[in-house]
Formats: sequence, C-alpha cells, structure tokens
Amino acid sequence: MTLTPGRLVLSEITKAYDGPQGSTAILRGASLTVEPGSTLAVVGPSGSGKSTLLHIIGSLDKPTSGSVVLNGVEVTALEGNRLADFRANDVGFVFQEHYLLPQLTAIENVLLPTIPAGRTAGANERARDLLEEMGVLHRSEAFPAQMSGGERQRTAVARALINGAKLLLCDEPTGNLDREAGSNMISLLTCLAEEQDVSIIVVTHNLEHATRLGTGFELLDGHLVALNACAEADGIQ
Amino acid sequence: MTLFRLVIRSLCYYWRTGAVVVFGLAVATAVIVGSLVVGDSVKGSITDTATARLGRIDNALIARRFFHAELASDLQHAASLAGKVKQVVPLTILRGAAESVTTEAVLPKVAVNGVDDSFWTLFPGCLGFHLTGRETAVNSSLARELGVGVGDSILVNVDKEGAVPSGTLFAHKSSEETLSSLRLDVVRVLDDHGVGGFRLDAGADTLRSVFVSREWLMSEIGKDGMANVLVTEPVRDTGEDTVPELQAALKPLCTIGDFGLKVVPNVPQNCVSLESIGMLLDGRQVIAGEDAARKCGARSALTSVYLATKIQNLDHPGASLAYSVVAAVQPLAPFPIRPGGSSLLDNGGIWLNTWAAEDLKARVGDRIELAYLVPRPDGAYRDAELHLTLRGIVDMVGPANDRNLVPAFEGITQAESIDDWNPPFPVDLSLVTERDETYWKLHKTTPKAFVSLNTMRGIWMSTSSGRHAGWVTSVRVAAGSGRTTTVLSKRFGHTLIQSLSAEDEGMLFRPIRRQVIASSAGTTDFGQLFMAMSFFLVVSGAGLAAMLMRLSVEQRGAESGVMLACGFRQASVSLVIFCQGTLLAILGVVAGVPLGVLYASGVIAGLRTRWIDAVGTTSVWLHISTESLVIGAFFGLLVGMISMWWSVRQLRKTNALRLLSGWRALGVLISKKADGRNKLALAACMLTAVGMMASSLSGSSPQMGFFGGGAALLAAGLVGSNMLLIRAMQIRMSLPTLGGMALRSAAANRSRSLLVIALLASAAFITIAVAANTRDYSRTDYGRRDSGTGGFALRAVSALPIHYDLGSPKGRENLGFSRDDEKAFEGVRVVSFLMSPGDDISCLNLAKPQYPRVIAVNRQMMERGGFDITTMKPSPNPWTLLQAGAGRAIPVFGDSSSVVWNLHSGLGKTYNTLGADGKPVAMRFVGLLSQSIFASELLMSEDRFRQVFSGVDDPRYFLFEVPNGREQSVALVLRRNLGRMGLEVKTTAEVLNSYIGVQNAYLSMFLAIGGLGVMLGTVGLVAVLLRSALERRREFALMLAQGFSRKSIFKMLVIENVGLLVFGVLLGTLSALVAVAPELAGADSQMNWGAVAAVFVGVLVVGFASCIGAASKVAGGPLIEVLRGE
Repeated sequence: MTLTPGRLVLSEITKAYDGPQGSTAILRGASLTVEPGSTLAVVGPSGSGKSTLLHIIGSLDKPTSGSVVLNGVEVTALEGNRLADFRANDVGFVFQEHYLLPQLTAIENVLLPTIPAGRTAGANERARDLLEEMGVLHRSEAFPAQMSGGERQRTAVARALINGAKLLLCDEPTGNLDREAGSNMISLLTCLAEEQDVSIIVVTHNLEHATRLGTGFELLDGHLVALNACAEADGIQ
Repeated sequence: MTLFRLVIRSLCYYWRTGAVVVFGLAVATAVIVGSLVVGDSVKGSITDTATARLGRIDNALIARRFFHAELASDLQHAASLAGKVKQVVPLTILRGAAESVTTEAVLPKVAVNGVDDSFWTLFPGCLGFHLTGRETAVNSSLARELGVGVGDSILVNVDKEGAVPSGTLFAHKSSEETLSSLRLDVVRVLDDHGVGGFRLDAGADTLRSVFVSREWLMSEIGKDGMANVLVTEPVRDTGEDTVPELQAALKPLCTIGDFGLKVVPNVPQNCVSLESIGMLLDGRQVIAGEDAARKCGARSALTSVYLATKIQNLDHPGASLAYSVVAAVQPLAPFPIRPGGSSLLDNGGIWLNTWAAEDLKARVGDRIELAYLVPRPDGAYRDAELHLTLRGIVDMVGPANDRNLVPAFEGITQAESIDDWNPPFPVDLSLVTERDETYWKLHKTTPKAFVSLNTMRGIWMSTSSGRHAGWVTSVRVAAGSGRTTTVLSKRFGHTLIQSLSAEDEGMLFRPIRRQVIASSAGTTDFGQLFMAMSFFLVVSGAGLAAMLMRLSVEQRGAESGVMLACGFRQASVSLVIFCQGTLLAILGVVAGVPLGVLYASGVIAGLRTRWIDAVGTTSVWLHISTESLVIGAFFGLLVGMISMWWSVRQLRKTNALRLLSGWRALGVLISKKADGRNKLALAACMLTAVGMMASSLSGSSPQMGFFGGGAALLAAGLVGSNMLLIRAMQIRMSLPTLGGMALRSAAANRSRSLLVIALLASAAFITIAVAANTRDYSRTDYGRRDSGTGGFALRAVSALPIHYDLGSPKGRENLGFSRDDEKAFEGVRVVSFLMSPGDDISCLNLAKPQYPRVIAVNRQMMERGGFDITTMKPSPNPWTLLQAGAGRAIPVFGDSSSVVWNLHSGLGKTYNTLGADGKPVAMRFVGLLSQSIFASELLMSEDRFRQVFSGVDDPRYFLFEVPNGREQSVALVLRRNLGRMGLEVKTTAEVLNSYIGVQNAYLSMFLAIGGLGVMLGTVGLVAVLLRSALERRREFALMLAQGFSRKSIFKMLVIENVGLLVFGVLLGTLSALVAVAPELAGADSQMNWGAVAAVFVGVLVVGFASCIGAASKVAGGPLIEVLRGE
C-alpha cells in the first residue's frame, strides 16, 4: 500500500466486550480505506457498533484486534503524549451532544484545542474564519446557553477543525437537531469535505443524510457492508 | 485561549460550587489557625501574667531562714556585679490567713509580703508608695474575696517562724506564741495584673496578697532588720544568666547569723561555742564546725544539754532535784572527778556535781533516776526516765562549772529564778525547792549532771523531731594557749563561713524569670488540644470542600472527556481542575485566617466564662503570632490541596469515553467477592463485640471492654448498612412506593449514602462517648477506701503549720477546740501529712511545675492503706513500696493523670527535681493513683521526706475519715477553730470535682466545638446529597410527566435524605450506649445529656431544614424544561 497523505486505513478491526454472559463481539473484522477529502456515512441499528468504530478510528477506544492507520501512522499503537498529539492535530470530533464548555464563549470553545496543540499563532483569525464558514460568526461571543442547538453543533464542528485536522469524525451530529438544522449540518459537512479536503466519517441513523453524504456503509453483524455501488467510484473500497 | 483563562473562566462559571468550597476550606483553615492562636493566647497570657507579676525581677533567693536584710545592699554594691545587677531588693514573704474585721470572713492561702519602697520600682509603671506601720496594700483578688476596700481593716495571721524545731521540748506551740495577728488598714487595692499578682513561683493562678512594710512586719514577728527573700533587677534585660556571679558574690557577704548560727566566746572556759539560733545544730553544721576548728588548729568538742525535770537517788529515796540541766560533753579539759570516781563515763553512767551529790546524798555506785519530759504531737508531754549509775562526783570548777553550755533560750536562761521561767513546757513549781532556787540564783544553767554523748543523743532521739533535727547544742572550740577567745572567735567565724555551703544552707539564687517563662509553656499545648477538639470542624470543612469539588468534577466529566478528545493530556485536564481547586483553596485560606482569629476570640471568651475550669483564670487574652497564622494558613492550604487531590485523583484514571458517557466516581456495582467479604466482616465485627463485652464482665474494669464492644458494634452496623443497601438494589419492587424508591435511590448512590451514615454514626458515637465521661463526685461513697477519696471525707490544708496533733483530743484542746467541738469528732480519724513548699502538679495549674509539691506519708497512713494504686509489681499493701529501695531515686507515688500529662513521666520512670537545698533529687514513680485527691502533689515516705525537706516539721495537710453524714459539721468546727491558721477545708468530693472540673470543661468544649463540626458536616452532607439530587432532575421531570406530583417528589427526597441522617444518628447512638453502659452505671457518672441532646437536636434540625429546603428547591424548579434540554 502506498503512503498517501490523509489516507485512513482500517484493517480487520474487531472489538469485544466482556459481559455477564461472556465476551460479546461488536466488531468482527471491519475493514475500510478512506481517501483524503472523502465523506462517508456509517449506518446501522442501535448497538451495532457504529460509535465504537468511530471511537476506535479517533483513538478514543482501542480495538481488540486490527489496526487503524492514518497518514501512515498506526493510531491504535499510540500511547500517552503521542496519542494526545494525534487527537490534537490529526483528528476532529463532533458528538451528538455538542459538549461545548458552558463557561466559554463560542469562539473560546473553538479555540480550546489550540491549547494542547500549541497553535496559538493566528488561532483567533482561524477561529473566526471557521465560525464564518459555519455561519455562526455573529454568535462568536455568545455562551452555549445563549445559542440554538444548530448553532452549538456548528460551533462544535469549528472546534473540531481548528487545528487543521484532515479527518473529521461525527457521531450522530444531527441527533439533537431538528430536521432543517440537521439538513444544514449535512450540507455544511459535505461542503467542508469539498472545500477543505477533509475526510469526514459520519455515524448516523438517518438514511437520507447518509445518502447525501455520498458513500454509505452499514454495520451488519460487525462487518462494514457498502450501501450503494458508487462507493468504488468515489474512491472507497 | 490559554489554560489560565480556561481556569479563570471555569471558576467564574461555577462560582456557586466554588463559593461553598471556599467556605468549607475557610472553615477548616479558620479552625486550624484559631486553634493555634488559642494555644498562643493561653501560653502568651500565662507568660504575660507571670512576667508582669515579676516586673523587672530576674533572679531570686528564697531562703529557708531569715538573714540580715543589709545583705541586699551589700550584694548590690559587690564589685563583681557592677554593670550586671542594678539593684537587689530584700523582701519578707510569709504564708498567712486574712480575716475581714467587719464580716469575719476568713481567707486561707494569703501571701504576706513585707516590702521596702524599692520593691515598687521593680515594676514598670507602678507608682511607688510608702507603707508605714499598719498600712497595707492588698491585691484585688483578696479585696474582692474578702469584700474589703480602701479604708477597711483586715486581720492577717502569720507564723512567727520560730527558730527552734517544732517537736522539741523547747519549741513553742501555742498559737499565742507562734502566731502573730496583725491588724492592718487597707490603703490601696492593687490590680492583680502586675505588682498585685506578685509571686515567685510557677503557679498560674492569682494569689491573694497583702503588702506591708517589711521593717514593720519583721519587728512584729521579732525579727528586726531581717528578710527571707532577695530579688534582683538586671541593669539590662539581656537574659544573661547572672546566677553564678550572684552566688559567688553572696557567700563572702553572708554572716554566720544568715546561716542560723552564732559563735559565742566563752572566756572562763577559754573556748568559743558554735551554737544554732534554732538551738540544735544539724549534722552538716556540726561537721562544718569541726572542720573549721581543725583548720584553726584548735580542738573541738560536741556538747548537748537537756532539762531533767527531776533527778533522784534511788538508793536514798526522798531527796530529789527539780529542773536541772543535764549535759553531755566531750571534755576539752580534764573533768575534776573526786577521788573514788571514774573519769570515764559509760552509757549507763552519770556524774553529779558536788551540789547535786550533796542534795541527793549520793555516793559513787548509787542508782540515779533521771526524769525528763518528752513532747508529744498533741501538745502534751510524756514523762520519761533513765536509770543510771553514779560513776563520779565532780567539783564545780573548770569544765564542770560552765553555765554557758546551755545556749541562750528566751524565757529561761535569763530568768532570775525558776519561778520566773516562761518555757513552752509545763513547770511544776511544787517540785522546786529552795535549794533549787538558790542553785539557779548562784549558778543559773550550770549542769548538775553529766551523761555520755550517746545517752544524751538517746534522750533527744526520743522526741518526735529530735530524730530528724539533730541533737548537738554546741560545738566548743578550745582557744589553746597563747590565743584569746576574741581572736579565736573571729578566726573561727571566718573559717566556718568558708566551710559552710551557702547552697546547703538554703541561700541559693534561682533564675526565677527564666524558670517562670519556661513554666509558662505549660503542661498542655492548648494549640494541639483545640486542634484535636476541633477535629470535626476541620474534617467537616475540608470534607465539605472535597465532596463538592468531587461532585463538580463528576458533573464536568463530559467536559473533561471532550478536552481529552481535543488532544488535552490526561494530566492537563486534571491540572485545570486542580488549579481551580488550588485557587479556591487559596481563597479559602485568605478568608479563613481572619475567621480563625475570630474563632480564637470566641474560644477565649469561652475560656474566660463558660469553660473557665479548663484554665482556672480569667487572665487569658488574644495573642496572635505571625508564625501561627502562617502555619495555620499553610496547613489550611495543605488540607485544601489534599481535598482537591482526592477529588481529581479518580479523574486521572478514567478515559475519555467513560467521561463522555456520564462517568461517576462513586459506582454502585458490587461483585460477589465483595458480598462475601461483607458477610465475613459483619460476622467478625459481631463476634468481636460480643467477645469483648463478655470477657470484660469478669474483669474489674469493664469500661474498656464495653467501649471496644460498642465500637465493634458500630463497625458491624456500618457493614450491615452496606449490605442492606446492596440488597435494596437487588429486591424487585412489585409496586413501587415512595419509600421504596427513596431506598432504591439511596442504594443506587451507595457510597454516598454509606458516607452519610458512617459520618453521622461516628459523630453520634463520639458525642455520647465523650459526654458519658463527664463526672460528678458529689454523690461519691466516702466509705470506699479503694476509691479516689481513699475513704476520707474531708481534706484540710493549712496555710500555717499546725503545731499540735489534730488527730488527738488533747491536741485539739490545745488548738482551742471546745468540748462541744470535740463531740463532732467522735468516730473521726485524722491522718496528718507534712507538706513541702512547691508547685501544684495537677491540671489546676496551667503552668509547668518546676518544683513539685510533696507530702510525707507517715507510718499510720501506710498501715491504713487505701486508694486505687497501680504498681509495677503486685503488692498486698502498695504503700509499703514507698519505703522500698535504698537506691539513689526516692520511691514516690503520684496521681496518674498529673504524672503522665503534667510531669510527662510515668510508672517506673525517674523524675528529677531540686530539693529544698537546691540539690538534685531523683524520684522514681513506684505507684500511680487513679483519679485521686492527691492530684496536686507527690507522695513520699516521711523518712525520705525529712531527708529532702529538712525544716518542715509540722503537718499542714490533713485527711479526715468521718462517719457518714457528719462531714459538714466536722468541717464547720475545723473552720471555726483553725480558720485563723488559714485552714482550708473541703470535702474530698469537692477536691475531686475541682480536678474533674477541668476534664469536664474540656469535654464540654469538645462537645460544643465538635457539635458545631457535626452540624457543619451535616450541612455539607445534605449539600452533597441534594447536589446529587439535582443531577437527577431529568428523572424527576420524567416522574412529573408520568403523573407524579411535585409533593411526591419532595416527599421522596426528604424520606431518602432524612432517613439516612436519622439512621446514621440512631446507629451511632445505640452502639455508643452499649459502649458507655458501664460508665452510665457508675455512681460518679453524670452523663451530659443536655449537651448530647443539643448536638443531636442541632444535627437533626440542621439536617431536616437543609433537606427540606433543598428538596423543595429541587422538586420545585422548572423540571419539565429539563426534559427539553438545558
């Protein structure tokens, strides 16, 4: 496999949890390659392991076996400071809950990841640009409690991108939004992928959103199964 | 965006939580700072008071006997002290009793200070004044207690301090002779703080003092120009030790008279006599006299005289001699023995002079009876006789014609006739013949008979104090040829001074200021004491802060999770929260330091009023040292940091996903293994409880067993509660009820619930255990000899020595008791004790004792026994241990608490102090008494006591066994007859209560401060519980949506939280009641139910109010909106 900047490669990811009835496998050898600038959606029933897969890709969780390689770096092998650096610089998260810090304004929330990354030079301008791009610059000085759900989620996206991450992982980003706000969020994500060459993986229940994102996969019995045939054409294997 | 900004923003956003955290830490800091300040204040107040009482005095010489007052000015002008000693002031300090002329109220233990004008200059700011004649200045303590003021008159009784040892034939005993009653006019009342509180010992309490002119006082007791104390003022207060220089300068300035001696030239006999002002020379003085004679190249000889009441010839009955001097003499020159007599005098022999032999028609070989009086302790005299054989008749010339063998004795030696004698012993004039009177007129005290030194020693030894006071009346030193008695007298006197040790004779300077300041450190570190007492407050404050901080951390788990997801390191996330906590801790400390000073002010106000028994004085003021503030602040910060560390430590172990998914530090899951452990622990606790209580029932002291059993029961209760909460999670409710839901909710937050139960149960347990230790001996059984009273009902301590035996009817008669008074003494048994001067070693004395007071246990007391004494080896009569051991350390007993806490010693340990002569004395504790009336002093056998404290001849400490119900009447009679001697009579119950009063005051303080802590802790716990309830607002909103009323939710919350509080209090109470059951059953127990009730009611009221208030807040908020999202 050639080393392509921004390429994400998942190989035979498995994940099992120990429970009262013994070990339960959630992921049973999920493999995936995502080229830079791609958007893809992962759908599946509740408990199928969508979020787990996303957390493993983003290094929040460790697989039982298999590997995740981003930019040629095996993410699953990272520990300690290198892991923190990876999270700070290479990947951005957007959760169903916005998890904005209530004590910070929108722009301050966006700037939060610049602290561990140490990218303070020009950070303020970058944050403003991102907020403008997300359409919430006018709310930059508002606190989360003063913002709508859509505004909070857009701010959360801006926060995820402030350090220039080339991989954005979104876990049910529209789950707490109304239909219109949800739709706008999907539009925003697809634009981002196109304009900023960011790979985006979105976990969602919403098939419509999945369809709009271009490529869709379904997690079935712990395996990723393509939803349509255009996957190959879009560079997803 | 920076971490610092994030920290500040977070602090501002979570200000409510922060405010409570600051409050908690401020309380903890305030308590630590306050406790240290209380310690500083008590110590500082004692030091202030003690140094104010001393004025500028740095050293003092407190002599055993009077010396010439001019010694002070001689010393002041000594060249070696120039530039070091500014002035030396002579004083006279006597013990006495004061009486109001108008109210006749009598005060014992009064210090009578004879002062010169220079005395006042020792006290900065004291406007000196001149006291003349009967003018007196009294301190405000005496004025207040006696109810007198300026213009009033008082009577003060002081001992005349007779020189002749009490117990000898020649000692005056009647109060008319020994007591000087001074009528004084009060011209000034002095403040107790400063000169009015003047005292030279380490006592922290205020003496009742009167000040009179020293010259006048000395004149009144027949010791003109004398003093018994010297105090010095340094030129500069540099703290330099000038005692060695003073001591060195003192000796050459002392006269022989200052050592209680005199050198009398005896021209007819061509010798000089070394005599004692107190009639008898002690062993050291005899040796010094012989040594000085040797150094002068002169021969010395011992002499002793006694008075025979009757001498008769048993071989020629009918003739007798009355009141004749008998002498034992080591001859300096050959005795003129008539032919036929023996020049050697054996122990069974006697020589008569020609006058006596003629009157008795005696011939060598006749049996001679020599009768003499032996004084008894009750004041009566016993007739004693010696049967001797006449070995020779001496001509009344040379050494046999020496009237100066008898030291001058007031009332006898200068009398013109026997009829004019005024002796302390009875004289039967009917025995005196005309021949006797003629002899007296012609030859005065010239001995009529001579016995051997051993025989004479035997006569003296038969008297009560002769055994200890010596028996030699003079050491005669022969001038020899070519030397006049005047020359010898001068040289011998000079050499004698060199041979004597000023220290041995009690002329010893002590660095009094340094000793008093050292004593001020006290035996109790009040800082530590209050820290311990305020333990609950510190724990509550810190606990409240830590719990809220931890809740805050939990609440912000997701926030931490997202920070981790954003690339923050685990340590950075913890650091952000830790920094917030640290800033809060700093704020808490900043607020806590002034609060601590406020807290200390409150405690000191309490010590001056409600808890005065703990310090025994109102002279306690706030003293703040920077050191204490810094140390307090540091520890406050440390407590805060530890609390913060505890609150974030779990966070460090938790990964981002767990945090994002709603992490809680206090989990509820329980493994099977843990369940098994619980059952095992429960069984172990129960078995321990039952075992300890059962085994203690057979022992003599079930207290420890029951306390341990109660504590084990408490532990069992807590383990049981844990199991109950686990079970509550497993029981399936067929139909949920509010109570069931409350229980399930408590079970779901098992750790928090257990924490609440454990804290309140422990608090209740400790509160009851402490309150149960309150004692009141008012109903104590005086009949029990193994109790702290030893079976005695009354204790009397006299300011002045009682010269007659208080234990015998005759002695009491001599003391002035009437026949009616005597009736009160039917069935009363009195045990008398000699008592040394010294410091009170009990908890009543805040200052550290320098010279413990010692009382002498006589044979009567040893045989009687009594008291609960712990010894190293079992003994049928532990009191005999006081006589054991011929080693260097003197065996002593002491009260267990006093020995351990005040002297910092213990059973089997050696305690070193100084004797009356300033020499080191090692004492070994061979027995410890438990909660006894002897808490203020140490007990030593009388024989050893007399070796260490020579000069203490008459008892001042008395214990009375009194038939039941007659204590008050006996006490009344004692006070009426001996009040003027400064006799202070207390029931032994009162004595015990005065000691236990200190403990009770400490317990009361602990309950008050601890109670506050428990209440604060309760508020904290409720805050934690309700904070946890706030987290469940979604749950409550759901319940509302399902048709529950707000009232139901409110009820459920109250049931859950109040239930936990009540359960905790009940568990602690029940276990504590078991633990203290033996205490409660004791006769002396006086459970402080009031304090317990106040604490419990306070806890429950605070708990209920907090629960209800907070529950209504939680249940009354806009719950439905919660469902729509915040």
